[in-house]
Amino acid sequence: MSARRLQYIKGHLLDKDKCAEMAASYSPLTTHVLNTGMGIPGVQMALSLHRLDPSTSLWNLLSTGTTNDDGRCPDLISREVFTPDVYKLRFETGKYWESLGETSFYPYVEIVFTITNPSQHFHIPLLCSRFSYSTYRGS
Amino acid sequence: MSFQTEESPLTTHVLNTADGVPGVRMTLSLHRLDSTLVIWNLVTVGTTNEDGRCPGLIDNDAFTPGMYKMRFETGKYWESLGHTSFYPYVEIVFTINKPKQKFHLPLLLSRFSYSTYRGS
Repeated sequence: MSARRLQYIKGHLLDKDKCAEMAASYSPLTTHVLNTGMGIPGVQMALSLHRLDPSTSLWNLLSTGTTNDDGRCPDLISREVFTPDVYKLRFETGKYWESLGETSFYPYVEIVFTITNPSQHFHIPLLCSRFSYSTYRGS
Repeated sequence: MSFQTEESPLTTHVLNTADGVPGVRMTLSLHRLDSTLVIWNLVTVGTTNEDGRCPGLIDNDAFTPGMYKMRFETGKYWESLGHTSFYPYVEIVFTINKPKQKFHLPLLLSRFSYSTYRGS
């Protein structure tokens, strides 16, 4: 293999430390908000992740965030604390539509889901318009 | 002469999109937010019929402007069919400004997805 080719391939490889850093910051739970009413990502929507404490039946706030220009919110949770439990993703849809100068039927959307196998990856999108929404378990 | 009760201004319809059948015998409940106490008051409890519907959710008189929540016991439903499900329950929170209209709140669901919309 030519030296030039080797150099080219080497440029695509990350060093060990950077790999570890990326692996640590990769959330096993991701979301994607899509504004189906307007055909655009749901940008700058506030959201929060909660975990149900089974002993108290109370919700513990884990993280809050705001969707980026692509409607995503990286770093929701780290793999170390992603235990098999019941979680809730809360999307501030009412405030989102208000910021666009619109009213909405849903003041917020809460999606409650059960994680039994936290070694998998879970993608929980929210497709929403002012008068409808849907979600599914993606990977 | 028998007196016919008025149709509820709020209706729902549960559809099991995975099996292509109505969501039969699913327990659900309607709640209204008490805005002063910021707690949910239970308005009705019901179970969907053979068509996945649940008539008589609320009377016209009781259907005041406010924030409401419909809770569907989806986890128990799938369990009764011998399945697990990703969602232990589904709660849909919505705002009613003009209670004189008709509001239809369907729930279309499978074990790993659901959707809803404001119908009439």
